[in-house]
Amino acid sequence: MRRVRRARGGLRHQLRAVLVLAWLNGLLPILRSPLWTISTLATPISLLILLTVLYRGIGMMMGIVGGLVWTMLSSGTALIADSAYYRLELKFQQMIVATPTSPLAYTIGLALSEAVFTLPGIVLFAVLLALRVVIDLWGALEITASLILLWYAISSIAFYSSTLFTYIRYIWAVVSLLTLALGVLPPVYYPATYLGSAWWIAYLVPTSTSAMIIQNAIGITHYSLLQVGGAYLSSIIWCVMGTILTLRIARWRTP
Amino acid sequence: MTRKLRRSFGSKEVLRGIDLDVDYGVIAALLGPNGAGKTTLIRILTTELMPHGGEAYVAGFDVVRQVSEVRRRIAVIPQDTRPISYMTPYEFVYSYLLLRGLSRSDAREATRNSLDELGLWELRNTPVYQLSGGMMRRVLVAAVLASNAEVVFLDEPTVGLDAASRRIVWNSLRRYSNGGASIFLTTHYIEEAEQISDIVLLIDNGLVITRGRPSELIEKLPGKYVVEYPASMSNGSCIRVGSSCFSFVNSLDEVGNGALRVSPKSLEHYVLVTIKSWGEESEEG
Repeated sequence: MRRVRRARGGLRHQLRAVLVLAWLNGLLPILRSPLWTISTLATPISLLILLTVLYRGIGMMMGIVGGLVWTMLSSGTALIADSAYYRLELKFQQMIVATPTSPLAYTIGLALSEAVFTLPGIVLFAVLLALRVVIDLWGALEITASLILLWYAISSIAFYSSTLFTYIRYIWAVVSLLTLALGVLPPVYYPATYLGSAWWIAYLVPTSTSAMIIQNAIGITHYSLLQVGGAYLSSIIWCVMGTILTLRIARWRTP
Repeated sequence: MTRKLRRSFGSKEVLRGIDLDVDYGVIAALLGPNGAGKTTLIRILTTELMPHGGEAYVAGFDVVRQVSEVRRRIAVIPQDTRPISYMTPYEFVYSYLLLRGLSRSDAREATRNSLDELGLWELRNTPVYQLSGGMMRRVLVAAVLASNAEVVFLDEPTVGLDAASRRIVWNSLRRYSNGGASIFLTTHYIEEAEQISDIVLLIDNGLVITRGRPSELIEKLPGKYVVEYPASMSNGSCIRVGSSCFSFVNSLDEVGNGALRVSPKSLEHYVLVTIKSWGEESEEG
């Protein structure tokens, strides 16, 4: 008679599942091919160089802030592609559905793996930022908090979005459009004040709210306390929305 | 166990009231033509798809109301699954077991044993993308069988495997079920179902149309041999199946002129004839 190893599904298991997923989808591919992580930096570094050449000091600062936000955004767009690939092509998600690992642990694990992937980029832009401006502890906390909120919001929404796809080839086009809509069009690489009376548009997407907080924290753009508070509120609302959307599919099953 | 299980996609009713029972320690093969509802049934039983009616229990737990209990006790290889390409077989099986909730020491031991059993231990550190399609399937089977789940679902587990690899998988499945677990598999290889399954469930058009041990089902056919004639030669005593016509005889002396093939009756003949007859009855009904 075989020895039954009963699968466990408690909180400890869920935390371990998060780490296992971060390892298998984040650390392992980086170690196998570091070129992948460098390739994710190609666009933000290109934009940084372009802005520096065109606008010197302020351009470089905007490029660094944009690079931080863009790198976090790329972890979300990569999550859409990876989770859709695992579900539609490899059917790996279906294998995991039939285990005690919860959908929230699966989502957070994949999101963490993408963060691992983008960590070198975050470190690069953080070092560039530290070299250019003096940031006090409060400012550093604000930057860190805004990036974590952005990571959580964009990852949870990305995972939900990935479940809407039924055909893998559509993902590529959608990811490009999302990058344009979330990384280039809103005030990520430029101050929200450039939009004049329509500055509040920055609240509509989590990337520009994050950029507002960072631009204000390092002093390259000055927003009122109310505007910054609104940016935090917007980020939190995006996180709550992302969590609700992820939990909506918590049954892991097609209705 | 399922009772009157139903599922639709749009206006198409794919499962129309499936009733089945499978005991522990049994290999059950689900046979049927493409689009019969086999994969839909597996997706419901593995809690990936909601049923639209009826009841389904796996390991004694309701797949709708007791999902987490079911998920602790099952493992599945869905149709067309592939292991993650940049991982090695060892990494894939080991991480799958950790995601199933096994301790690290249990996972290490089970990974080693399972890779060894499926002839993959020597390739344990080779990236999956360097393996052949058949070896990739064996990696998946190794992962699922290492899990020691009470009920295992395999949707076409041996597609693309050569004869030797299939035997390796069959032996592993038999050893696994001998330990008291149930294995529920779909296949289009009827000889596979005949070789390894304890019970065959024939499904067509969203219903289980017949069930039984392979030998019992074969015995339901008349005679000892099946003679295949061209369909153009069909007459009252010959059952037309596709481009052939099957006639059943007790002795080779009864084989008439124009016979294309003569073979001992088999599960394949039973499946072909039953689905043909069932289809005609359905149309008449």
